[in-house]
Formats: sequence, structure tokens, C-alpha cells
Amino acid sequence: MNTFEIKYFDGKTSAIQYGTVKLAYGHWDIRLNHPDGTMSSIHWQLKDIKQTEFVGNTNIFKYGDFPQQTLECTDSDFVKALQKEYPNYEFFKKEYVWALNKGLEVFIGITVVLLALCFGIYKYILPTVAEGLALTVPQEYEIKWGDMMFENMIQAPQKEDLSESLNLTKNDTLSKLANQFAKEMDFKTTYPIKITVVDEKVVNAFALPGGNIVVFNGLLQKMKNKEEFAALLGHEVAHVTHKHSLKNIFRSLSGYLFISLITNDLNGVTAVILENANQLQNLGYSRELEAEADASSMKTLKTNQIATKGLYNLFKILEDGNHGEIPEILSSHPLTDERKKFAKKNQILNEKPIEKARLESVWGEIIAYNSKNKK
Amino acid sequence: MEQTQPEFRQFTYYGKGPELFKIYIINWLLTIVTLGFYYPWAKAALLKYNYQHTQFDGSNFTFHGTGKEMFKGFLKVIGVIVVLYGSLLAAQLSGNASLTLTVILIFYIVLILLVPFAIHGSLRYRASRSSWRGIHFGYRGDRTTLVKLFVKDVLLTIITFGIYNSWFINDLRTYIIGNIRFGNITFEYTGNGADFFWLNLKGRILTGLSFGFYFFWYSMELFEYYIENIYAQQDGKHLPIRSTAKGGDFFALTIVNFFLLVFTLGLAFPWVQVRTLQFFMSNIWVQGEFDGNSLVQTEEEYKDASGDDMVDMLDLDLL
Repeated sequence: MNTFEIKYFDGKTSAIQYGTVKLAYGHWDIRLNHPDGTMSSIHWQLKDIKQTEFVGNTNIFKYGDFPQQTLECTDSDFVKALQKEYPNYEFFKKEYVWALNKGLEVFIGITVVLLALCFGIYKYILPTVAEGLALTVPQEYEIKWGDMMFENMIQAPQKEDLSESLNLTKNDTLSKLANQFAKEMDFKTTYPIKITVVDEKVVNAFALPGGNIVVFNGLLQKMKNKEEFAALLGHEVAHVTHKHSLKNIFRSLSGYLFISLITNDLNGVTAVILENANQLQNLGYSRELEAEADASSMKTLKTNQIATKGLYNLFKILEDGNHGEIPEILSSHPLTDERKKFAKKNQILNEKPIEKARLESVWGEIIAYNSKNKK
Repeated sequence: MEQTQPEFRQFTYYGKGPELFKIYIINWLLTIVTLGFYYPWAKAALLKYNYQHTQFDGSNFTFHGTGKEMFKGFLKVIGVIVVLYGSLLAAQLSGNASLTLTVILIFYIVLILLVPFAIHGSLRYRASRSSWRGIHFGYRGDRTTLVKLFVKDVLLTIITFGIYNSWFINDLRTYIIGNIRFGNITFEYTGNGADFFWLNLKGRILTGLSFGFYFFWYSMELFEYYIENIYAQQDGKHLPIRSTAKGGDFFALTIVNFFLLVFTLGLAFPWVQVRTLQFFMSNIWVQGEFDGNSLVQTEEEYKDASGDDMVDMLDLDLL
């Protein structure tokens, strides 16, 4: 039988009309019984019939332009009859009908595969792509950008009233000496290295993209010999040369974008969990970068024939100086046992570094300046 | 077929977790594969499912929107965002301080103006695409009026350090709800800023005093305030809307949902959504002599979906 009981709405009022539909060739023949006992008939052309996508207990079909007519049929045989009568005609949106007819286990399978895939992309493909992208940024942009960040952080001593943001005051004499010191070393870099010493008690230093390196005088004051300073510069210049800031930014940004892509439609809780995981991941990455900079610093010391124990001593200074007072935001140098082990393992025992008179004399001036101004 | 009408009519949501889960997984898969561009279709699929599984007086709702319509809106929204953030970035890179400041100022002004545009567009689109028994909803608000109201109230809220916010929310709801049509049914919102202000003040104080515990009761008071201040009117007959949601029930719902999400790393989200929709729908009742057969189509066709995605992007919660 090709005739089914239906409810019908004409799109003009909400009144329920009862009747039947007969599946005919190329159209549906709808007959409506009116309350007054009369009957009327409507034809729906096959090509204008649309099914609403999700089938509950009721199959709902819409017809025509706005305002659409609606037909509801609760007979479970109706769908089967449709497929039999119009085998070449697609009433249903394929992807979701397919989906809803498949078992839940299929979807759990898909989910597991998807999760594994996402994890793989996040862990292995994304970092490579992000780093590759970071490397395509032209050096001149990096320098310009780093200078801008630098301007925002450092102020000349005379402009103290206008102080805002990080409030770091440049020490002109020490900065000049530090740059002279750096000139005596070969860092094998194409970046213009510019060192700025700031009057802060904090024991730290950081590098900005493009060549600006900021050293806190607190760190300088704790240093006993030039090897330590050379090791520090070697480390910071390595951050610049290897574009660590850019890589870090590209990586955390790509991680963030990826996570917001996959949690697009999901809920807050999942997003928060994943974002925290991403931050942990980035923390791990910055350790990697530190290790790379350490290795590079060691190489610089060796190239310049400066005593390699400088790196190990530098770590000891940083360790002692970091008891509780470091502003977390600047603490880009998490000290780990691995780093100390690395420095110890790679230092050359009984080495005979070439004495460099010029380097020694600049270092002497730095020491002299600091001991004079301390009192 | 006429029968005696009961005094109360309840909404029911009968979506099922496993079905919704399948839809979410497909949406998720396609969204990732298309780098996010499937988003409008994903949204349409979810809205269709949820509308179709919400019932009132024996009939389902229908969502008529399509991914294609919303995709056009989605592209427009992306365009606006690219221009906005692009100019902000360009100004910042130029290093010119006064230019940067001007652009930042313009950025925020445009952002504030975008909100009422987005609300207006979304309401018009969403309402026109929602129907029940073939009768479409409609939003008849005027965009310029809404923008003026919005800007005025935003300024007052800033000047009063946020105190005016209660009046702001109620002004907005009064205007929006007053302009919603459902066939020949009209709506009216009777909430006011003062009541709402005290409700919030009480809610926040008690939430603080109870170490956050009162939050669930506070939330239900807000829900009740929103719902019970809406009056529908059909042919001169008032149809008050009532909420039966209880703080304790909401507490239980939230706790269970939270654990469901945490222990499945969010994979139970579809079930959480089903539970939440069931809870809220089953707690909304329409009182009075509603005649479901006598609604008349009153709205015209409307075709612009750009507001809908804008509301999503700005993270506005309309309901």
C-alpha cells in the first residue's frame, strides 16, 4: 500500500489538518479531510519536497517556497515505501542519515582515530611547520620588531617621569662597556648585537628578537670573571641567532590555534584542559631552547678560546641569585640539573685559554665601575 | 478533534545523547578537515537536531537555516575581523604612537557598535528560520533604535561603574522581546532594572557568604526572573510563562555534568547538552488558554545570516 496517514500544515495557519498521502509517479497526492466533512487534494512535485534532516519518531517533509507547507508522518513504513517508490531520489541529507544509522561503536572508533591523529599532528607536525614558518620571517622585520619591544621596555635615565610599563633604567656606562666586550668576541651571527645593561638588582638577562640583549646589573655584580660574562653573552646571542623568540611565539600560537580549531564547537571545560596542556608543552619547549642556547654558548667559548668553565660558574651564580626574588615573567632561564650537568660535562679540564688583553681590560673596567658605585 | 485544553503546556526536549554524539563527531571531523570552514554547516546541523527534538503542545520546532546561508555570513564576519585586527596590527607596527592610539579608539568604538548590529542580525535571522507547525517566528526590531539604545546604555553603564548594567540588560530584553512575533502571538517583557539590581545584589552577597554554594539558587532566580517576566499574548488573551526550575535540581545537574565532562575529557559533552536542555525545557511552562491551531503566518521572508555568526564570534549569549 502506498497510502499513509498524515498531519498537514499549510504554512498560512498553525491549524492541524488530517489526511492521507499517496506516493504517485513524480508527485505525492495529498488528500485532506476538513472538519466540515469536505475533502480537498494537493499535489507535491517530487523535486520541491525537502525532508528535515533528523528523523525522530516523526518524518517531517517541507514543500515549496516560503512559507513552506509541512507534512508529518509517524508511520514507520513510510520511509521504506519512499525508498521503494523513488529509488533514485534523495530525500535525506546523506552524511547525517548515514551517521545516525551506524552503531555507536563506529563513532567511538572514529573518535579514537581522530584523537590519535590530532595528537600526532599537534606533537609532531605542527612544531615543525611552526618553526619553518618562523624561519621565513625576514631578518629586517625581526630586527624592527625587536627594537619596538625594546623601546617599550627600556627608558633612558632622564625620562624617568614618563616611566611606565617595565620601568627598566638603562645604565649608559655599563652598556657601552658591555658592547665593547661583545665586540671582542666572535659570535658567528648575522644579527647586530646590542647589549643594554639596566640598573636592577635582579639576577637575570634576556634576549629580544633581532639582537637586543638586556642584562640586569644584579647579575653583572655577582660575576667574578670575564668567562662568566662571555658565557652569558654566548647564551643570549644564541637565542637571537637561532630565532628562539620567534620560534617560541609561532609554536605557542600555532598550538593555540590548533586547539581552538579542534575544540571549536566543544565546551569550556575541554578547552581549558587542552589549553593548560598546551602551556605545559610550551614550557617544555622553552627548556629545549635553553639547552640549545647552552650548547651554542659552549661552542662560542671554545671558538673564542675563552675558559669553558664560565658556563658552569654562570649557572651557579644564577642558582644562588634566584632565591625567590625573580619576577616570574622574566624568568626565561629555568635552571635545571640537566643544564648544570651539561656545562660540567662539556667543559675542558686543564685548558689553557689564550689570554686576551683587550677583553680582560674591558672586564676590568666593568668590575671597577660596579665596585666604585656600590659604595 | 477538539479536546479540552489543559491549563499548562510544557516544553519537552527529547534529543538523545548517542545521536547527538554522532552529530558532534561528524561535525568535529569535517570542521578539522576543512580547517574550520565547516563551522556554519556544523552549527546548522546541531540547531536542526535540537529544534526538531524540542516539542511544544505535541508539535516539534523546525530550524530552516542552512549551512550555506550561514557560510556567507561567516565569510563576512571573518572579513570584518581581519580588517579590524589587521588595522590594529598595522598601526602597532608603524610605531606611531598617536596613530596607534587613534586606531585603538576606533577599534573599540567599532567593536561596541558591532554588538547591536550582530544582535539585530542574529535575531532577525534566527527568528525567521524558526518555525512551529509551519508558522515562523519573526523579529521586528529596528536596527537604528537598537544601536541607539545600546550605545546610550553602554555609556551609562561605564559612567555608573557598572551599576546601570541591570537596567541595561532589562532595557535590551524589553526591546528585543517586545519585537518578537510568533505568527499573531506577541510578546512583552516586564522586568525592570531596579528589581533586577536587587536580585543580583542579593544573589552575589549570598553567593559570597555561602562560599559559592548559593550560586545555583541565584542562577535559578535569574532564570525565573527572565522567564516569568515574559508574557505572550494571543488575540488579546494573556499567556504567562512560568519556570519551575529549582536551585537544588540545578545544583545536581551542574555537579553531574561537571564530573561527566572532566572524567571523559569533554567527550560526554553531547550527553551533558541533552541533560541541560531537558532540564531547562521541562521547566518552562506556558499558562492560559493557548490555541495551537489558530496561529496565523505574519512574517515575511528574510535572507541574511551574517548576524548569527557575528554573535558567535563575539561570544554573546542571547538566551
